[in-house]
Amino acid sequence: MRILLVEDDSMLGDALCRSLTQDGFVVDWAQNAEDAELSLSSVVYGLVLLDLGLPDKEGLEFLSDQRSAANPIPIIILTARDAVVDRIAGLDTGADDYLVKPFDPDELSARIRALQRRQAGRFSPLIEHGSLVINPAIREVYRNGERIWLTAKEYALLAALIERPGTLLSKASIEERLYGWGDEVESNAVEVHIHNLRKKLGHGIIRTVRGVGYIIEEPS
Amino acid sequence: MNSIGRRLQTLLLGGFLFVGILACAAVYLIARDEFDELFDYQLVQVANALFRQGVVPLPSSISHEDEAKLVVSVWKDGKLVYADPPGIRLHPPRGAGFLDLPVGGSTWRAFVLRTDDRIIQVSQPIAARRDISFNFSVHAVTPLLVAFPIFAFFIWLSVRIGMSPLNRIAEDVGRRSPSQLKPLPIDGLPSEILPLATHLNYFMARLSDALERQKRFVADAAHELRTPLAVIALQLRILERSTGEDKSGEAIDRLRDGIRRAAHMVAQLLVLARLEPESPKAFSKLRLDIASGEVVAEHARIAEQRGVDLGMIEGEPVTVVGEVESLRAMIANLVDNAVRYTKAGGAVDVRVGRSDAGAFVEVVDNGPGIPPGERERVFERFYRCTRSGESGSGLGLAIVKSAVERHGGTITLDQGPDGKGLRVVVQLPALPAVIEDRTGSFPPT
Repeated sequence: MRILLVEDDSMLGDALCRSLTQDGFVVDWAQNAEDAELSLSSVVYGLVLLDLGLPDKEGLEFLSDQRSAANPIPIIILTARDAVVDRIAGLDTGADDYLVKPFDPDELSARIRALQRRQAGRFSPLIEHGSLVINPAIREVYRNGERIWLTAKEYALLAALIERPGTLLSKASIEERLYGWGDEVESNAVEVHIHNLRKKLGHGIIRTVRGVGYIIEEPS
Repeated sequence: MNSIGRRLQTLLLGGFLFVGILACAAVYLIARDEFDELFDYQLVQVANALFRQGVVPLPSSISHEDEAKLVVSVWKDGKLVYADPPGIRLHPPRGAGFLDLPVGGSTWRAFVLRTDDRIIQVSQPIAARRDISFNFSVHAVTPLLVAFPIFAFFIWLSVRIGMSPLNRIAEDVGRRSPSQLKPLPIDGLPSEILPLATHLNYFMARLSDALERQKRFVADAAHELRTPLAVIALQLRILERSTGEDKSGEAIDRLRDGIRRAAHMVAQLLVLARLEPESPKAFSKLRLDIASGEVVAEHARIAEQRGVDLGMIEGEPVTVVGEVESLRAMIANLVDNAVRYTKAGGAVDVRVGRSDAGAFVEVVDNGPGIPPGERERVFERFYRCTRSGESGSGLGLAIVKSAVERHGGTITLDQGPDGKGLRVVVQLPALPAVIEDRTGSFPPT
């Protein structure tokens, strides 16, 4: 999943990027509201992590701007403001979750996964699809009870396709989910990852719609 | 117990008692004179009556009046022919008119009327007269004695009523917790207590300000430490998960940076806390030029690492009186800011010298500068310039400003000489140059 991090503190932003990347997320980092708005208008993100004290705009204002523009993207507020009134204001302005610094990095990742799960309309923490079982918390994939080892990108690709079975993803939108701003993307990278995934998972799970993209069908 | 109320009561009642005694004495003295006159007149009247009516009979109402103790004696040809009361036999007097006679050790007052053959004497012991005046005086002042407890009660009551505003204030203040610093109500307070209440209110207002400042400071401090702590927590996790020596080495460096940042924040907070207006001042002499040189030397390494040319421009020796640590922290924060915000290849110049106002420290850099609109706000605690991206404590210029104000100086922000960068000038009161020469070798610390 690709995450937009909006945080003006360079040290914290850097550490968050690294930590989230370790957890398998793709992170773009905006250091002010203007850059964040620009990113949101050009890239489809799965989630926004929002610091409230931004240099050019109050975080809450940024949040309400997004909500009044009918942007449904899940937003988690990361802030040092811990008063109950602040939490209430954050949630009522449209945030989906509210974490107070210093937060536990594992808790942040867990909350991101929880939001992702709710977004996909799932109840179980495990994603089951036919013979496949995926545990997003530890990023492990099982087929018929047998562990299948995937690279980070292969996992991200599988997670993106399986999240909403029956939804077709274009190559461009897959690239967008898998690579952040700084990443070099080979022109056939997606095809290579699809090829490797099929080798590991077996053919027939991921279907190619030629000239359009890829799809994992809903389990019958 | 030392009590204004009791003191007032004692003084007022004592005064009343004293006046009462004086009044008794005065009444007695006046009564004595009046009675003397009155009894003298009576003596004459009785004597005249006897003279006119012959020897007998004497009206019993006069002769037997107990208190007056009149004694009538009539001699004829030297022989006592009449005495009333009958038992008292006096010697015939010498002389006529009013006489004071010694009778058996006491003094009697007498009126003597002489005819050809008779001597009529009406006399009376003076002690009897005194008794009568005394009794009269006692009767006269009795109401005063009865009034004494009533008066005491009213004194007690008025002292109590008079002191009640004071008691109310004492109770109000006594009931308060340290955080209740609302001003005392001063409407309708008597003029004697008003200054006390007003000063108490002024004091509480200042205390409240100081408390409020402290509270805000602690809250801000805790708040600002959250971010460095979040950084440390994240970096620790990155370190735990990173594999390979290169990666974990890098992660350790980042973790160290995070801890350094938190430590720096704590140090800056402590400096700022010591610069609070309420904290005690410990002033001594400081050679500002030497201290600045030392600070510049301390920052030489970090400036070099950042590719910033940091140096001092030759100025003049100048001594100020101030807090050595505060002034050094002030210069260090100015230099640190300049080095931090100047890009590689930039330069930071520090100059110290004399001005009309006294001494000045000037720090000029050719970094991005501060837009005029932000020049006031940068002195606020935890304010960071927009788009600076720097992870400073946000306290540097707040420390500088506190230190400058503590020493009665001024600070101005301006752009650099070529319209770029930032020029900070701190003006401080300095010792005159004459004293300077004598203290030229004064150690900087």
